[in-house]
Amino acid sequence: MKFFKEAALTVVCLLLGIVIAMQYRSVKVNTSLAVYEQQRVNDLIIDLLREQENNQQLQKRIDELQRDLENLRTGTNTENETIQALRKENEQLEILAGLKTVKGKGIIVTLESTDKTAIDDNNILAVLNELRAADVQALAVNDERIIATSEVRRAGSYMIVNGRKLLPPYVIKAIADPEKLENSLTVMAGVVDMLKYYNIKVDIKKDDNIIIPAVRDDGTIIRYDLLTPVD
Amino acid sequence: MRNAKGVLFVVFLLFGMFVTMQFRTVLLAQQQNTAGESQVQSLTAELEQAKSEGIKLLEKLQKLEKEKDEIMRQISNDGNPVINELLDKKYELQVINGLTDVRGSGVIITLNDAPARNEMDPEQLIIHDMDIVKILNVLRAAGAQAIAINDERIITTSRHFCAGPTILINQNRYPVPYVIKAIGDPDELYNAVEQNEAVIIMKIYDIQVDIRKESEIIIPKYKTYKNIENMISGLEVVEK
Repeated sequence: MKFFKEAALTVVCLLLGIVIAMQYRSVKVNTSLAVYEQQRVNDLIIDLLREQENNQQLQKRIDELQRDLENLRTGTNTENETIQALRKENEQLEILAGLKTVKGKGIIVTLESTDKTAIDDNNILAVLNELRAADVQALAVNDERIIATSEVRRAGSYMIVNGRKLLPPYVIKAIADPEKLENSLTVMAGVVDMLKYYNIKVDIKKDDNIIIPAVRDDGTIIRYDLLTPVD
Repeated sequence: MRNAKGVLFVVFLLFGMFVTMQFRTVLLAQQQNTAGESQVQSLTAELEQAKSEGIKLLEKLQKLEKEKDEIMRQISNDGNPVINELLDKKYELQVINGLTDVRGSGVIITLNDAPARNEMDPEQLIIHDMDIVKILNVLRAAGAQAIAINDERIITTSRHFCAGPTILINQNRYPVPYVIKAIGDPDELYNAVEQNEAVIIMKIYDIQVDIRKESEIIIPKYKTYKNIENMISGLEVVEK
């Protein structure tokens, strides 16, 4: 009788243990599932907000264009006004293409090797990419303007950008919308940690009067002879 | 003896409580899951709707832009050489800025994640943002004149990335495979990419890299959601 009771007790305790373990595991699985689910919901919300913002911007531009067209059709615009409008549009396009020297608020990131090894082009590319992610509007490495076709290549102990030799330290200037500037500083923190690992000293400075020179316009950097416009 | 009965009583009590708790957790989890699921579903539907609306708006915008250019041409054909000259300049600047669809010969690079293998760290099987940054850099160094990833035109300030399972380019998200198109000298572009260290390493990890020379590639223009004005809002021209 005593044996039977002890055996029953053992079995019950054993079962209890198993149930506790199961309970614990199922709670853990549930939490991780919930985290994953939440992540997906967050991603979707971010995507949705971005898409809605894009649509708003598009609608705004459509409205503007429709007004322009109306003015053109009814001949409200004199030829002189049309010329003024075109000149303004062209200047904006030249600024966008990097054909103008520009000034603005932004940050200056200086990279310097703390040992004797040369800084790799990948490290500069990483900084440029992070800065782009923060919506910068103009970029330069040692005053060489970075445009859509600019390359950054290491050759020995120096860097080649836009076909021109640059010597360290590398000073990367970025002009951004001041509202987005804080963003870019936060983003840069991760890169700074990564660069420290490669023995690169990073100095980040905010500056309200950054000047970034225009791209060299001698036909070597801006090239489009191989591009045929499609209508 | 009475003691043993007491222990047994407590143990059964606990046991009962646990069974109830377990049952309730499972029930709750199921409810939560369906709630999360339906939220995901409704958000996905909303996102799809916003996207298709965006495509329609973009088409409308492009149509209007074309109309405006045509009207401008008519005005210039009526014989105003200044307008004509400014229009030609505008067109050239649009090509430089990636604001026109362009055609030419070049290469198409298709990247896909490596097939899953148990013994490998999954981090090593996926394409990272730096892989793409490096490939774009190689293409630029080899003289590429126009580049697009999944038909998103890369311009000076194109934000790319956060690769991983998806890539974010110019505000739009795309899953693998990533298709990089570049117009330039096909042989130069091909050799530069083929011999690039980053590409060789990707291949070692079994990431699928396919490079093809093409005699005709069409690269679409940058989709400008914003006004040009907004894209240069922080820049003040310095006259030299």
